[in-house]
Amino acid sequence: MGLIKGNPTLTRYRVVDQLTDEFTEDFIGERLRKFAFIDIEKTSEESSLGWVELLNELSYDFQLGSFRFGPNYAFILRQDSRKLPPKILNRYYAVLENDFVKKIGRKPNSVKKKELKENLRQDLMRRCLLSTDLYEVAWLTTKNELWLAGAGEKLRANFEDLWLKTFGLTIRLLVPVTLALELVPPHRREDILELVPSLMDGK
Amino acid sequence: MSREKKPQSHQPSLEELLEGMIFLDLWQDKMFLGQEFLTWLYLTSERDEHIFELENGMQVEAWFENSLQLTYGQGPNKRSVSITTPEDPRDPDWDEAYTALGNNKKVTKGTLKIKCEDRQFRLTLPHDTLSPQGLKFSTVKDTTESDDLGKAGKFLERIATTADLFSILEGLFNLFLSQRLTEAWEEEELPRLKEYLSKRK
Repeated sequence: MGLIKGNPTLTRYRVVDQLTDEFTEDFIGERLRKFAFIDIEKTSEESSLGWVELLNELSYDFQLGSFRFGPNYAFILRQDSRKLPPKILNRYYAVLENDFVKKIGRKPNSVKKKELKENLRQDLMRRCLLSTDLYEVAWLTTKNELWLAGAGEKLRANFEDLWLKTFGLTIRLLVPVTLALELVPPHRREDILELVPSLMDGK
Repeated sequence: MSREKKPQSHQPSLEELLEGMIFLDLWQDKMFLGQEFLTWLYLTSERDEHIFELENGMQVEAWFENSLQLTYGQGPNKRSVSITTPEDPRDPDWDEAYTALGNNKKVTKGTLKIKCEDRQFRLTLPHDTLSPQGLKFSTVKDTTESDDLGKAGKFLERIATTADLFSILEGLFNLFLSQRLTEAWEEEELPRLKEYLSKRK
């Protein structure tokens, strides 16, 4: 977590596209519901990624008022995932194959082996415990800014992909070069693009 | 490159300027900007007793406390050194850092403390994003309130405080850029920093 509790690590974006009149609270709620988190507790799915409410990560109804905080919108990117170590799968498959040989009198052919392994994998996946990761998102509409309480390449890619699917708005990661291009007057932007490293040693 | 360009009548928008550029290439190509900024911030802070006056007139105290990471080169030639000082955080022993800087390493990450009016922040600042990691606020208490109104209030308070921090970080970065983009960088600021560094090595 981060923005409500604890010490956040943040990734910062600029929302490049201007918000049109279409972006009412109703519309935003509808889009959040469309790409809300889907519970995979009772399935054999490996992972699920979607939006949940900021103040209740178990809820994804997005009723009016649950995602608007003053001039800002806020929600959580929730990712549930489970992992089945190959060692576990191989261990149980060896038992299954042994039973198959006893029953049929020969080893399964490659097609049967694939089928047995996939069924077993799904069965074991259902029994694996899920782990949940939550990343708060704050959308500061008055500043056209977006904060993700988390960092890392994979998280950024997942977030950017889901954000685009949900709202269709282009965002730009704020890193030194993009921040510099925003901070300097427009006539100095080319200078930023032409900069080369300078030596800062004591020689 | 002309250092003092005059504004032209038509300036392309930022989106027009970036059109056709591959973001990751641009980010990688200008990665040195964050390193130079952190190096400048560290040396200037040590030299000027942690005080910075931002362009909006605001006075900010900023200094690196306890830990610094310095790096030379990129890819397989990359060499990094991490320095942690358990001493008095306001007066840590940075000898190793000065030696590393003298060997052309640049600051790539550090624990930064910022004081501005009644606000205090402690954060780790990496050069690649200049976005805070492990941000601690001194003016906003951690919420233990269970009701939604209390949580929402704290959330808004933390949003506002974080926005203040970003504004201070931008102010510091802008201060660096305003020197970096002028001839005074090569002619005045860089020699001053090098002189300070050679005295401390």
